[in-house]
Amino acid sequence: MLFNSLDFAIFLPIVFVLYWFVTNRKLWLQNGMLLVMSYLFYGWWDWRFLFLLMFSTLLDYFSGIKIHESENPARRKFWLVLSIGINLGFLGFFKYYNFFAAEFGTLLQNMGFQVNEFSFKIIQIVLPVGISFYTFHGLSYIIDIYKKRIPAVYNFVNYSLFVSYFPLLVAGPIERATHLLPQIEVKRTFNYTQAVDGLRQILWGLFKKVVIADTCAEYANIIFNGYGDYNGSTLFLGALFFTFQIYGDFSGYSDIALGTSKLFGIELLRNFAFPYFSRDIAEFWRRWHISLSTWFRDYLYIPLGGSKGGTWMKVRNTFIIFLVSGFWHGANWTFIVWGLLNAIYFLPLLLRNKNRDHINIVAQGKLLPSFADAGRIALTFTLTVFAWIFFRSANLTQAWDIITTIFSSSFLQPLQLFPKEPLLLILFFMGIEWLGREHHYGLEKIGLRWPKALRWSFYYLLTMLVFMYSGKEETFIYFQF
Amino acid sequence: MKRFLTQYIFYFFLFFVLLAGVNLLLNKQVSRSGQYQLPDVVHTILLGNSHAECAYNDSLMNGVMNFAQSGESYFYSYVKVKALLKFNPQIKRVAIEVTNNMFEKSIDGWVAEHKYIAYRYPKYSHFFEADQRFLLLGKNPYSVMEVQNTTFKTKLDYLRNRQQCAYRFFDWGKYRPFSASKIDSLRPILEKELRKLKAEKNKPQPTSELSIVNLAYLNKIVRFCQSNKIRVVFVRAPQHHLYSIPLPDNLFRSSVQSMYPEISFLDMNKLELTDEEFLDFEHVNNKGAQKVSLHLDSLLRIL
Repeated sequence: MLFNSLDFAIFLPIVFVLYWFVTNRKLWLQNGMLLVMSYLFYGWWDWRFLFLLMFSTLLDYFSGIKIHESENPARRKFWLVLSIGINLGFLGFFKYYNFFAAEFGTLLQNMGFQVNEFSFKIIQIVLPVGISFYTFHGLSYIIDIYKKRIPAVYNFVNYSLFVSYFPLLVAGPIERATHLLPQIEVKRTFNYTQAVDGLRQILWGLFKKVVIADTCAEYANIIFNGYGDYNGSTLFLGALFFTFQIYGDFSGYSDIALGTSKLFGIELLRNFAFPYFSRDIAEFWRRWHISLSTWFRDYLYIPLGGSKGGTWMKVRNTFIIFLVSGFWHGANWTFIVWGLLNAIYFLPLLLRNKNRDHINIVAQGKLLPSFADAGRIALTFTLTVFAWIFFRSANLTQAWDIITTIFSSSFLQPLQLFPKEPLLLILFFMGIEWLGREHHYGLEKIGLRWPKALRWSFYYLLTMLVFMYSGKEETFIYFQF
Repeated sequence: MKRFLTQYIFYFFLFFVLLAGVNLLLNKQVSRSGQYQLPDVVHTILLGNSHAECAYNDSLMNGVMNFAQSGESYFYSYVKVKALLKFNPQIKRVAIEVTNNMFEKSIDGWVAEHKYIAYRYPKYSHFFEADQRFLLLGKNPYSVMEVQNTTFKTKLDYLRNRQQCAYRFFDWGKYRPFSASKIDSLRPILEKELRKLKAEKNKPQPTSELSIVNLAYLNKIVRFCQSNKIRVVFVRAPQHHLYSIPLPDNLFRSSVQSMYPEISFLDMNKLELTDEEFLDFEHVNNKGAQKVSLHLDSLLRIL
């Protein structure tokens, strides 16, 4: 079920009413109902993969208890390795099998071995939606128990809900047991302010996805799919459209997820913090897909030694994180190069110890940034746009062709496509984002001090735009990850 | 909670009221824009599905305009005929394609199945009568709800871009030529399929059940034309002899005869066409269309 579908528009109010009016008396009823609805939500896409989700849940549930109850380090390690191994095994099979089979086959061929079509067979594998996300949920839970940061959860419904809670099930945010489980374990009571805030965030998320991302997608697809026909300036415009598409798409999804969860009295981790206003790439990565970046920081970067070692150790760990992050996005060299490119962007900041220079919000308390900050934002944004070219391209050849065309004299030629409507929409969108950059999401405080009629008119304008631009039900980009 | 629900319901109620209001205004604008006027020389319009869409090349016919469209049931043709007659007093005759499949029960799915609603609702809804809206809502409320935004946007797009006449913008149908002939390639496939079915003793039999909704709307078209003193004629485009007819021909012909004894039936199926003049078993190609159109034109002239 997509957040931007009519199915979800019918599903959500039904769950809301059941939650607050039928199952509100007891905690186990609230959680049980949410769990059933979460499975329904997931099964709507393909019920067969529910078994995989349930198996993964059961595995981590029992592994968690075994690790928690055992004092024997070897036994604890056994359950940890078993859980991580099976979880990553599933992820590896569904997501990376074909990539490795094809690459390994090519490698052997290049080394002079005879490789027939059956040696490393490419098979049609449907990637279960959300597998990267719920696998990481489970892993964080198991690792936290192993590290004795949290105790195991004995209530199976509560644990299952932690893994399968529908707002975050298919594309995050990647929650932590320490943050979500305490909220699941207490009965929620209705909070008017939180619910209204949730609706506002859903509206903003829908606007980002339906109006911005899907409109940009049309032009990004035209330009990227026919990249051979376009000059440098138009290809750069295509990359710009993709830049806003992916931001609108993923942060829109996250806003809808967070807003939906607020309707049920549960706060999820923030996933985006206006990344395109970042002044350097380190700041960008503190503001983009925050739940994944912090996951990698806590469960990979720090265990690898983090930045405690010498310069070489820091550089090595940074490259590992970015490469793994790129590979997490998909089994394609384009994602790996995208990760590598970001690591290269990061390197000068790391070596000069400047990666934590921009912790505060840009131009805090001011309407406009200083010239220096505006320049830094523009530079960081441009670097990001170039990295997205790899992310969006079907293969490295396409990415290279696009970049070389952009860096040719054809960049100075007039645009072959100049769609005014999406550019105006982007301008409006980024304006709101800029005004709201000191808050959790763009629309959070906009208009709250206006007269009610004016505020509602503004919301109606957004609702109308969502209504008019919807209908395509474009899937979310991050569903494929 | 009470305050939240009240505000939530009020917000969406007001939104839908506003939307309905804007939609009404749009409908009014779109349906009275005068962009449905046909050239003065047009005195006959032709309605039907893909059989007619491929068969009648109106550029070869005198005063005839082909409005047939693939997959169109009489439910949607009714809207079209009403609108075109309203804006074109020069029209004196409506030719309606009647084919075996348009009389057969399964054609009722062409009214309210999702893909038909998704494609046709935005094109015709501004001329729908209340009972048509209720019929679609009753049969497939989900699809009707889902198509509202596309419909809204289509109408807005039209108003922003009025230089095109409405019946072309909304794609109300026209002659569609195909140059290929696939009979030679389709024949072995069909024969293989028939052999397989024969071996399984499972040869499909034409159904004998008549359509309900589609025929009701055919009746509405006929009655509407007659009440406006517009002459109705039935036509049927040629079908290849290998075409597996969904409704037995004798039942089809007797139904037409018993329901509409007063209406002339110009059956082009009697025309002898070669395989090269067919696109496939159901449709003629442009060569066939030339022959069929000239023949129909000659028949219409003497009617």
